[in-house]
Amino acid sequence: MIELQEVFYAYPGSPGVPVLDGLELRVRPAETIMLAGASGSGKSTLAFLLGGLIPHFLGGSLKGRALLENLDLSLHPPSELLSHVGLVMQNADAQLFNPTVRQELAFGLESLGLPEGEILRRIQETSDRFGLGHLLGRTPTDLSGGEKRLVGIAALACMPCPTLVLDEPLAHLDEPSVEKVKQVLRKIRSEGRTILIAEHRVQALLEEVDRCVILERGKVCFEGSPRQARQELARVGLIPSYAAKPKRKFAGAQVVLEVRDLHKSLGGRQVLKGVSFQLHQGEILAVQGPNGAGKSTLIKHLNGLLRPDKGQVLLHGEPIQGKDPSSLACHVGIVFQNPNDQFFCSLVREEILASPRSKKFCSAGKLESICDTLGLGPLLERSPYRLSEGEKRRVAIGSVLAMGSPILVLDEPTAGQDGRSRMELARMLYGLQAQGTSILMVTHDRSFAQALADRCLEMAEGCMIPSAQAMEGLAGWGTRGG
Amino acid sequence: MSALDPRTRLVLGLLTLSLVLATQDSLLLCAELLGLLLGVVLLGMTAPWLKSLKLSAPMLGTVFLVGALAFPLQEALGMVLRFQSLLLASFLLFASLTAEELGGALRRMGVPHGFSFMLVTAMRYVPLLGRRLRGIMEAQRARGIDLRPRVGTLGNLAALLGPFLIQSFQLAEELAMAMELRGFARKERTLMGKWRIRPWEYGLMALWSAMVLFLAGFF
Repeated sequence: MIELQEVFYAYPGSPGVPVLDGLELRVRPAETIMLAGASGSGKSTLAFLLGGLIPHFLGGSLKGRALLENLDLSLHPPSELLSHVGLVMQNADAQLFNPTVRQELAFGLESLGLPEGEILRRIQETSDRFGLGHLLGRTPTDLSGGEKRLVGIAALACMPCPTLVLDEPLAHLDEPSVEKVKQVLRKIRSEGRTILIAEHRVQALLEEVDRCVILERGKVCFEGSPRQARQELARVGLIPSYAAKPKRKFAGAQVVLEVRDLHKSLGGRQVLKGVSFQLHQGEILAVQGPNGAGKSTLIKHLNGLLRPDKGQVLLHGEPIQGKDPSSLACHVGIVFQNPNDQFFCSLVREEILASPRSKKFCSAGKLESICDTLGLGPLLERSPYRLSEGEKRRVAIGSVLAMGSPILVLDEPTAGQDGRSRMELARMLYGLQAQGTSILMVTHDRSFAQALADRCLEMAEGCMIPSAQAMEGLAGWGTRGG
Repeated sequence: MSALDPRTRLVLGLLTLSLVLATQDSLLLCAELLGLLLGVVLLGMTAPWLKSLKLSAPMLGTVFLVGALAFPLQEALGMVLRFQSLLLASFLLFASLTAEELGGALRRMGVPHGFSFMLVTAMRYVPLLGRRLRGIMEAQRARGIDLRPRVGTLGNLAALLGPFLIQSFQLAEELAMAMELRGFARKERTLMGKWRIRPWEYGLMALWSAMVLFLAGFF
């Protein structure tokens, strides 16, 4: 049983800004709850509170009554809650800190001081139950994103704690991995444990939970069954609904970027096996496919970050071979998955102008136009590190567009974004397309790709494969125009 | 090699490093180098060692250059031999011990759990930080920031170091949180696995120690 009454919490350094602001929540034993909410609504903070990190590790000011199995969370640090609650954090690289998966599963059990036989039995049971036996001897850093997530969950599931809290277990996962995580969650649920899942990808989990709780500015603004929640989530924009966009016809339009028969091997594995496609002026093209299909490797060839073993990339008909990526940024701008990889300035304004300044060209008019298109005006004097995930994504795109590139390449643009940010991003990309920007995005967010893209391509195991959707895209040229 | 207890492997590795440091005679240094090379071949690690030469060759060249400028040629060659032997001995030590075994060995040798765990964890996170650094470099170059090693681009290094430092600190904090959540701070930790050093392993360690002491001039 979890009982939160009038809970207020503010992080140290921002005492006047409560992240949890009078939160009230009761969770019954064996209940599975989904915590939904926009970025900054307090989901992760609530997870930290339930795990005991707040206030014992993170400090800050906590007020109100927070009980977990009648234990006052303000009095018990995480080490004392180990047999009561387990928290799987968002960052799998930090979550999995042991040399092997076997040790990862053993770590918490060793901390509890259980006898060796009991530890080995629990590891065996858990790995059998979740199908992880083949991973036990592997190093966690070498696992795929989906495998890392499963191991993180399994490491808690093998503990004798009745409550599990999962912070964004589906973040960055493709559809097959999402299915595997859902299967594991069903198994844990069948054991009668209490599960709280904080998640942005709410649609994927709605059918898996007993109740959905929506947080808004640190308060519960809705509680209800999954069926009731679906309507509410759509109403508050957490299930995105994209504006209908007429598919445009690009056959015969100017080809701005062309990839011809691209081959690439990395670490002894052939990642690209003869990929070819064209991007037209003003087109939005989506390349879809599961993790490991070669999508990210492909886009690193588009500005010369990687050199192909065979094949070539043509920009306006000219091969880009031998050109430095930084000099190609005026022609092809790539925004990678993690916006934090780009930020090094103290203000958003400086961040956007950093690249043009480094090339000794900079125009106030350009900054104004970017701010208008991306809605960055109110953020210019803020630190890029203190923005929400959606705002960070827009600043990252702005900093790439500042080089004046007419081609924009986006790597998983919706990763880690809530529904509202995804809709905002879609509106912004429509705007860029209207200005003539050609956009290529690689994503496993099918609904986003289908809503935005004029054409979709499918990648699997390093090849472009004919798919129903891709065929539809090809067949639909000229018939879906509006 | 895996027939030896990890503690024996650790001690033998450290003794081998001491042996190389204690050797003064150039011929003996040559013999040690050949012995270490033989070890690399016998353990089937030739390919990874050859790969590691890409990194160590510039260092060896620098050592030789500095040595040749400051000392007679023979002494400079001796320095290169010793340096290469030290690199080889370290390579063999870390190639023959997994991170799991190293942590377990240190713990069983009385090193506090906190210290041994942090040492092994820090070693494990080096490749991850390397990958992050590459990711940051790609993101910055993709937005037009020139990071090629040139005098004119030195100022652009802030674009590489800023995000890298911030992400490293964030990772360190999240790692500490994850460890705390899994009971790292608890005292009553179970020590898994039964390890045993056999009598002949003690003999091997004694022999190796005697050789080090002999070469260091104690006999």
